[in-house]
Amino acid sequence: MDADLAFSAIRISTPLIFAAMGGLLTYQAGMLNIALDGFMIVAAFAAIAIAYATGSLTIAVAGGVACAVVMAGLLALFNLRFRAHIFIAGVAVTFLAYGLTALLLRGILGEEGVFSSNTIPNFPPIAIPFIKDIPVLGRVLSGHTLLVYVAYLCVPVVAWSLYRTRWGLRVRVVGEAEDAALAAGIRVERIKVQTMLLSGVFCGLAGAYLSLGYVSLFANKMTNERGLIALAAIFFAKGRPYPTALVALLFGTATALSVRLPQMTGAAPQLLQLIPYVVTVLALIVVGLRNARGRNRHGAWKFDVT
Amino acid sequence: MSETPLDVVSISGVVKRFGDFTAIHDASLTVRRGEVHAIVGENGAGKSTLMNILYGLLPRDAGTIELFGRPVTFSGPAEAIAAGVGMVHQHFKLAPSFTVADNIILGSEPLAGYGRIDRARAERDTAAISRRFGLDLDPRAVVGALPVGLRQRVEILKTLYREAQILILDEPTAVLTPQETRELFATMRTLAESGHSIVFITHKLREVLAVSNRISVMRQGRIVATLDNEGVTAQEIAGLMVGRSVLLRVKKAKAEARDEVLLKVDGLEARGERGEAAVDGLSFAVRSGEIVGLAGVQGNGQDELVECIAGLRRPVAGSVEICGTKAVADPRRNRAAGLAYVPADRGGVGLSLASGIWENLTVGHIEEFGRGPFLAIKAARARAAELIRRFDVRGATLDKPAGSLSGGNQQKVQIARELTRDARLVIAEQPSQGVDIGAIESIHRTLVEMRDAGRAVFVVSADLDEIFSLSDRILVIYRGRIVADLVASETDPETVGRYMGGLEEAPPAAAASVSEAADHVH
Repeated sequence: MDADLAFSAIRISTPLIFAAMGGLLTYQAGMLNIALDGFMIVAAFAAIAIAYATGSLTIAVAGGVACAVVMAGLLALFNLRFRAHIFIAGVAVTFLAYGLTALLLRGILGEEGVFSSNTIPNFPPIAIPFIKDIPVLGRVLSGHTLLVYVAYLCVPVVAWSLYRTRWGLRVRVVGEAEDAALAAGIRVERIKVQTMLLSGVFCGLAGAYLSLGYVSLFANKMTNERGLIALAAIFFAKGRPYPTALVALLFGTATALSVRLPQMTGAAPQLLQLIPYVVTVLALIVVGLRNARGRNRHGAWKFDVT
Repeated sequence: MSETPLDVVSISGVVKRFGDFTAIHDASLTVRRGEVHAIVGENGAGKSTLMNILYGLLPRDAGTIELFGRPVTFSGPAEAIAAGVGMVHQHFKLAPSFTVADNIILGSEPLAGYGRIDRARAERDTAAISRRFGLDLDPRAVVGALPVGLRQRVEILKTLYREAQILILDEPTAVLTPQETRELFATMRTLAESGHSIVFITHKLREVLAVSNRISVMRQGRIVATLDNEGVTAQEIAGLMVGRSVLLRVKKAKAEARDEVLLKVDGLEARGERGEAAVDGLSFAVRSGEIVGLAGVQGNGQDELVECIAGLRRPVAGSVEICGTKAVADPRRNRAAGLAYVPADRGGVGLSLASGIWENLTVGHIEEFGRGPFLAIKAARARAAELIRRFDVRGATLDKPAGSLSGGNQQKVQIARELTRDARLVIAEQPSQGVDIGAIESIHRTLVEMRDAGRAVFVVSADLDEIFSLSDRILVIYRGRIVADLVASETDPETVGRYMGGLEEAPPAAAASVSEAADHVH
């Protein structure tokens, strides 16, 4: 039972990890990207529609990622070219994504609210040699589908890129001290566009996983604010990749619990479904307290009455 | 082999417009190999604008720039850097949480394959150039933890790492102690001797005379003269800068300090933004009828001290008394007790730049014009118009946003509002920062008038010229403590500078006078 819970926590955390990796790149580059949900939902729709039409998971995932990248490009265009505030632009892109997918769901697939089909192919579970034979751990770690492994492997790749490479140094300096980057001759805009598009790639994977791996259907607004939860994880971990992934995993575990507990305890499922959101709120309270302690009693007046 | 031409930079006929405003008129200038070339002028004269054009940060509207004899047009700093131009900005362009080496290599990072940074080489190279130019620095130190003087070294090393031949230093001494300034000048000379050319932007005339080979004076966007630094006096340069002769020191009678203590700080301790002990058990008093200057290098606790007095920060220990009333962490109550505060951060704390000038002049006087929930707008506007005339706020109309005024005139608006309050303690923080010479004169004169009217004036300034021009008594703050309490007429900038740099301990006499001041109250 516990191994099952851990197994599903890993599975449930997968889209959060993808989205969090995407969001933390823009976070590190100094942009608050609140359109993660928008990128994901478009990818989720495109992936399932393409899988339905072609029967190919590869093309479906690639198509989902491409569509999410287009949305990311749109946000970059609004924010960096037309100078719209990133928050407003992010809300606009998300609403556009929700509306567009609902419209196309009806227009192309002829369904209202939910779409699924038996002809959509499934990701086969992959057993990892050797690890699958370890007692308990094997049951937790092995037997997931491809995208789950990809998500967790992205974490060290992102960490390596940010902290070991030239590109990563530039991203982090752009985020912390844009002036310093400009004065050093770095093309700040280009770095920002790159992180935004990569954010699209990661959210594309998250979305494709949601509609093809996690479940095999598309529903309107099926991302369920996972993008915002991923953002909470990023803020909690201050944008560092490993801690961010860990917090995302914690949120995923809370969700897994909320699915399992009703079966085990018989408590009202509606109440238990609150668990992931309560955990998120608690995490944000911790972030707030941590910041408040930075501006302690003896800090300067920040023009809020205390 | 062609010889390097004598003129490494030659700017001719450069024009820069911002909308209708012409910031640079037909400027021409040459910089020679191996010289220190000072560009002086008031704030807003166009010094930084001209150099930003040379550095590729701003495009020019007309004119040509030649570098090593070849015409160039830079579309960004990257191209200027590649062509051998480096700039150290007035506000450092450093990433504080990164190491010295990271900051130095940024933009031209040594690679180790797969886009990886070769950190070992970065640290080696950083150590090597810092040794070569005698600018000692630990490549692994985190920049945010370094004192200002060392951060400036990082900036200079950044340009040298990119093999800049021409270094532009924009107001480099503004944040340095006299001792650090001397070290910087030595570095500038070393660099010039090794064939670098240095453009040194400043408005401090003594420094210009001390270090430069040639001096170009800018006024209202024009280069009005380029002089060899031989037999030129500060007065002559000042005259060229403003177009008329100016008083470099405001005239004032001897202080008549009375015994009434209007500001008493006793054993004050406060923490800084990062929780460090910024103000560390500090005591002093300011009496009515005197101007006390607080000298110190920025970041030694001045900000926190003033915030505690203004009620913007809660002290950890100790007390502040304003006109006999115990101060609390509440700006409104401290102001009611008799505090007028002219903050250094005009745009953030002092004024609302987006609001009209009359509104800025009226806040803080609401009691006077409040009619229940409403405001006697007519009366408030009439008073604002009167203040604009009285304090000679140039270019002001009642409804113009305060942000449209020049720095000096914004400062006059702040001063007009604060000094017309019925407040006997005046705290002026960096009163002449970003203010041109003409306005500095009138601001200083106003502060002296306040003193003569029996108020207590406490001036916090990083500018020693200003401290000496205004103060009757000079306190020096170093690492959150008052290390010296000196009579202005009996000391000199060099001595104060030594205290500012922490090179000397407080003499016992100073400590005695502080406790004596405290005794007066009891």
